[in-house]
Amino acid sequence: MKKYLLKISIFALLLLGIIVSVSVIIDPYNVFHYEYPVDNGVEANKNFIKTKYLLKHSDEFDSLVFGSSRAGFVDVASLPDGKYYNMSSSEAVPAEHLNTLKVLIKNDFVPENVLILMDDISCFVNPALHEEMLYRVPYPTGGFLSHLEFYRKYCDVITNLEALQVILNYQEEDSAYTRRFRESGMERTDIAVDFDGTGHGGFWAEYYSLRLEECMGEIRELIELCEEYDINLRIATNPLYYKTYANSAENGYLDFLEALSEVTEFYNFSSFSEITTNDANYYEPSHFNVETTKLMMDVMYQDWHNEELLAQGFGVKVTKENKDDFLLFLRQQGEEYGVTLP
Amino acid sequence: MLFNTLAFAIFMTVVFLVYWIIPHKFRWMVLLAANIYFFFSFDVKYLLLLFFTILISYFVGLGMEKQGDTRKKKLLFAAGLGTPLLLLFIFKYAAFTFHSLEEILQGLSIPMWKTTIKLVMPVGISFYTFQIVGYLTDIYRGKISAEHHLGKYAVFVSFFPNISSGPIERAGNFIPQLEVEKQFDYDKVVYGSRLLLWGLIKKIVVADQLSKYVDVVFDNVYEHTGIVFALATLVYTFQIYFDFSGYSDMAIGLAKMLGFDLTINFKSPYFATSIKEFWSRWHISLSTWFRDYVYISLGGNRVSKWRRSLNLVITFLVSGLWHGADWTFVLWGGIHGVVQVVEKTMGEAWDKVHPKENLQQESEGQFSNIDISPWQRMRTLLCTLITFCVVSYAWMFFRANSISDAWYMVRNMFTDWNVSVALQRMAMDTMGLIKVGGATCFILIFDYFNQKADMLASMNKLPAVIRWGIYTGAALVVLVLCMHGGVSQQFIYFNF
Repeated sequence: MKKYLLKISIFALLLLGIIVSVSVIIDPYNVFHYEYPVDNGVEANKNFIKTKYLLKHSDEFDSLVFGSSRAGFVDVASLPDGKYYNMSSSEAVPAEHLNTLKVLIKNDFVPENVLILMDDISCFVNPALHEEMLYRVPYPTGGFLSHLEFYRKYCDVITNLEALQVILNYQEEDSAYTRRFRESGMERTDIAVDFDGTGHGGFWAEYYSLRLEECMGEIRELIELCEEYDINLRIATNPLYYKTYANSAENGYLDFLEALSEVTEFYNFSSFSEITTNDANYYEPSHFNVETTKLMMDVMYQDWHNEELLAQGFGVKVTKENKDDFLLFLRQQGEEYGVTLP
Repeated sequence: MLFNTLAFAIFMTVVFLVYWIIPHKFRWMVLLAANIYFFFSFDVKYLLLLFFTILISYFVGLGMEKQGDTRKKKLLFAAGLGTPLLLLFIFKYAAFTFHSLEEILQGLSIPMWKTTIKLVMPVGISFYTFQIVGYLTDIYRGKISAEHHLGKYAVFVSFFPNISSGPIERAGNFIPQLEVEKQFDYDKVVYGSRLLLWGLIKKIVVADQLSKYVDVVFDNVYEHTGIVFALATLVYTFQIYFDFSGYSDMAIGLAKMLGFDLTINFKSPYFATSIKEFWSRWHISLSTWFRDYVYISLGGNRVSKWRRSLNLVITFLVSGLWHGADWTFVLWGGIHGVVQVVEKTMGEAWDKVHPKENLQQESEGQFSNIDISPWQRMRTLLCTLITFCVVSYAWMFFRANSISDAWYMVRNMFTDWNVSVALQRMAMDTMGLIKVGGATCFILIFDYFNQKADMLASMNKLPAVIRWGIYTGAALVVLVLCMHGGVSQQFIYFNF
């Protein structure tokens, strides 16, 4: 038996060694190189990389921005009440923000301030779908086996070899990629805007499905967690491109805003406004640009406001006192714009 | 827990180590604990059902052995058979029965309540039920004694390598192996490991890749027409064989690694020269089970010729139904039954004209010292091809989602002969064709020569470098495919 065990152990180690080596060397999603992620043409698993990085450098930051990739343009340096790190990642949802916050707290990083940017993704995307999307797999929260299972997904040699084709043909465009990950977590802010919405129908994904009860449960848990640890929580809804907003409203997004208003105050930027109906404020139907993000931060942190925009629903602070009127306004506004609400 | 998962690899490693380390008298406990854990990984409800069935059959077996009164023995036997068969009927056939009844009554314009039965079929129920039925019947017939050790009996019924998809074991073969004190046999364990790897190759590397070409046609029949149905059926012919024989190889290999010899389940079935011979090479544990417990119970060969034919057809209809609760499976079984009756009739007519010739001997003669003429070789080849075509054609009904789908395919199979369009419809490009064609040919060639000599055992003759090179290449391919996508496909025979 010893002879068999010895041979099979060496054999197994050899096989694992080959597979793991190939995976670590190619590492298209940067999970093995989270300290120094590289711009290789493949969307990195930013949730994992940023969480790992923050855990190692927690003394450098005291506040966080959460959101999907749409929150990636928040200039953390401009936020006055703390040293922020931008934790945004592709299609991140409240369940994942909660997951990440719990991991950080468990590892003795309790932020003083948290800003969460929410939108249709928050209520339409089932986080379970991300388990099989390698650039969106959430940070593993269990013990050793959970981490093993996480890394196992990235030892998919076929996927890695397919990604290698992309990597080899990619010309690095962003020399500051690694530095930004390490310093702020932000996306690059020098992308030129060249969007013409004519002919675009607004963003909508096939797998979107309203999961109101579940996401509200996750948001309530987030709020409770922040209260428990005395974290200053700000929530805002993103200025969705008006066609994307219309698609979402037709599928229950306003129900989500109403439910959100029942559990917390938030800054609302989702509506038909001069900002959201202007193609120049968007890179494409899903992502608003740096200037629009700056406008949002000015409203929330510099107390800036514009009466005209407020009247259009942009920048309104939704509270217990005004939520009913405001939601009625949004519904009426939607109908005026031809949106068929559910 | 599927065999091709990390969880199972860890599970088997632990079981293997513990099993061989501890003394023989405690090994049945290790196996029982492993079986329980294996079942638990599916659903705890399945485990409770299994325990219940084991207990009932255990006590019935003991009771029958002690019972001198024939009538009471028969009653006990009926109760013992009735319980697992009733459970099998409830979980597997109740919905089908009620649905069929509804359709018949609707057709006769007789009103009936709408019934919706939704029961999840417990893993392995078809297999362990048959093992239990075989066990009780063998006791009743006096072929074996009842097992007095409840734990060892439970190990036999629930043995994890074969519980989910066979082979269907006979108590007379398995239980004595539990009694024998096994020493770690290096050669046997190595052979078992090779068989496990070979099974994984057939299942993961080939069968799973073939399935996507098949599913795109069979799951959307009304979007297709023409030779694509024949091609998809042909691909399915190989898919089901590699999938099921791959699983059997894994089960037998795993058992060998624990020192057990399970029934060989496949012997190069696509080289059979008749449907009768096919069933002596395909799912052998099932076909012999039906022969011993259904065909012989119906009278076997001791009845008149027409009755024998009827028994044969009934046996295969029931066999079809065992495979699945749908009329497509019954039809598939019926085809095999009827073809064998026709074969038998034609064979008897041929024997009257040419009494000294025997086709089966000819097919085996290729590898023996029997001299066979080129004409006989040609005839063997022709018979093999015809048998293959009949078997393949019947698989179409087996795989079809409904009788109407199958009938549509039959009616439209030859409306269009454009093979390249058909391949496109199956989403099979040139590289895909080369890969699956090459892999299929390789396995068939392996199968062909395996009829003469055990190819896996023959690997001992290869130099170590080549042998280990083959292991490494094969294992790498399996591992890489297993880790791709992170989602395991279930085995085809899993739902039986």
